[in-house]
Amino acid sequence: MSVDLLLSPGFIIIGAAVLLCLPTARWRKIVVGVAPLLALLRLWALPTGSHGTVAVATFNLDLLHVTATGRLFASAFLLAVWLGGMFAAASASRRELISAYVYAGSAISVTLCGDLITLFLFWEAMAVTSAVVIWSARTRAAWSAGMRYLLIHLFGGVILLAGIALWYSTGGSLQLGVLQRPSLGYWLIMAGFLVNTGAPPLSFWIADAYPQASPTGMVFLAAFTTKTAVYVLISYFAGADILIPIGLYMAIYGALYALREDNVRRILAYSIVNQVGFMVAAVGIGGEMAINGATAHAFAHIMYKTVLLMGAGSVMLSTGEQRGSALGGLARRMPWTSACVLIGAAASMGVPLTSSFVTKSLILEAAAEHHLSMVWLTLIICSAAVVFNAGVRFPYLTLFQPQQSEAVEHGHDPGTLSRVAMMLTAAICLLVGLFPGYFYTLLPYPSNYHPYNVAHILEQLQLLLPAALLFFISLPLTTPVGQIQLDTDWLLRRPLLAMWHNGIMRLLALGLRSRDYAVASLVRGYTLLFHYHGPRGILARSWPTGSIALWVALMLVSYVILFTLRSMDMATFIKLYLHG
Amino acid sequence: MDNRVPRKPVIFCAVATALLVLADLLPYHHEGPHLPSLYIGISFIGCGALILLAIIIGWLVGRREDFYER
Repeated sequence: MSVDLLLSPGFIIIGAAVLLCLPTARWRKIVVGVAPLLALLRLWALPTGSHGTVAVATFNLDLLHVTATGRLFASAFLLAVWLGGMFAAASASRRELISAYVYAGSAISVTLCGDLITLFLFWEAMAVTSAVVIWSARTRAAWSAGMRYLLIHLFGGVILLAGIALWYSTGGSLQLGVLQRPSLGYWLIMAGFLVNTGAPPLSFWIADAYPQASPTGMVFLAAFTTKTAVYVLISYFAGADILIPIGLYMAIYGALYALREDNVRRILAYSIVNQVGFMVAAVGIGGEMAINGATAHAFAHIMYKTVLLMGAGSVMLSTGEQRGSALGGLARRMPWTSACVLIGAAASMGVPLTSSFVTKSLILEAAAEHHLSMVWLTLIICSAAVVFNAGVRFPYLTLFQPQQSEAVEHGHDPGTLSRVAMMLTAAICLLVGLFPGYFYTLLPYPSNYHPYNVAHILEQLQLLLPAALLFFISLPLTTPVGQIQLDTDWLLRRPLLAMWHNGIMRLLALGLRSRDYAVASLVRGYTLLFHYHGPRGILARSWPTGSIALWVALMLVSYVILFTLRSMDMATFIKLYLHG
Repeated sequence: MDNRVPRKPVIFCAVATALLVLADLLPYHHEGPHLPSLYIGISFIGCGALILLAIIIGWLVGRREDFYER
């Protein structure tokens, strides 16, 4: 393995995870602050293309293959792990930090690998390490949610592996590139990737698992899995029409479910599904502008969701609350957090001068360019509906509504390092929005799109303000307290779980019965054998000579009768018998 | 939980929306045909429909938060 491969940005982060085992907190903070920046420098020093392969059996694994798209995704991941690590350094457990770093390193390696086998290996590493991040919260709910999360992702992994095997067996190439020939393998690979985006019918896992992680753990979780899935969809399925309705469903689903949610971190989790829906739809639209839009929006989303989750984490760490119905009134107690959350919320809605304004509009423009009017209309409505989740609902419930409980009185801004991390993330959200021209040069395809014109700014505000007005008017109707919405996870958690338990019990009972029967048969057989062949058994006795002579005579007579019967035909025998 | 409609944000959003309706009448440059307040209409109708749908979904599949623990 060459030095180039060993110094891959993903491996640097995985190596940093080993250094995080150091017992001193000060050294851990240094590793967290330095390693991602080194990896980022290394990433941008690497030219595009393959940097050597490793032969394993009959396969050549392309462990480090840099593309423009992969580089931007990897940069976003490195920034997320750097800022997330700084935010978490003071309060996260060592186990959480180490698993988060291996998870991030695996995600970065997925974006920088050049074949499906390497992709699968890091894909599975991501599934396991992210489950450990969830379990690091050390609560019963986190344990159960982590198990469900792992189950879903291992299921996705099995589908992906089956797809890769089928694809390869039918002559398909394993190298990085858009798959062209729809076959069973093609569809299975796509399904495996879609599981990680939170596509239907498995959209529930994001809101089920992420909010059960620790306040710092969710910051890491929100950045990697779904965006890695968007990256692989761009790399292998750009322009696949089927992704458009899937993306639209996700965008609507996220907006709807967030609207009835009380838990602020679940609101943000639904917002992830909503925004990833935009990216999946953009991949389905295909073409240079749409792919640019999906890539740019993934970068912007990682940044603004990171700052929002840092805000939610700070609130949770200081108040111990994450129910919107128990928060509010924190804006004055947490001024730095509030300022950063407001920037993140503005970026999520696409307010002019923030990141999403210059990235989401690429996707909308691509839909219009392809004359997909219904797609454009749905995306425009879902774009306005961001107000219902991360845009207005989350900051209002957390910071600006009247104080709802005494827990809020403990609210305060986090420590210096966490605050700096939050402010840097918010600054990136603003920088992307303020200098779109420079940001567009980093995208996979050249772009001459200009987001800042009077019409676009007015249209965006015309979308957002009426939506905000509707949100505030309908607030009493859409704020259920102490309620959850059932999702397709109900099938997993009720009937399938019951079937599993019943099946296991029945199998165990059957196993026990079979074992008892086998043991009883063995004992019976042995007793019988002992009865005849034992020391007192009939076949083990020494018989007198007379008995033996009698037995021999009987055997001879039988032999004579059998011989007579065999040598004459049946008719002669009957005649002899009847007439003497 | 305080379940009243918050007055200040509603007034702010209503005034800002009214100003945007007026702004749409200004002769700024448009690419292609322009329908005044098209986006406001889309936002009101689309988001209104989403809110209605969310309420219906909540009514259909909303359960107590300890549903899975029971």
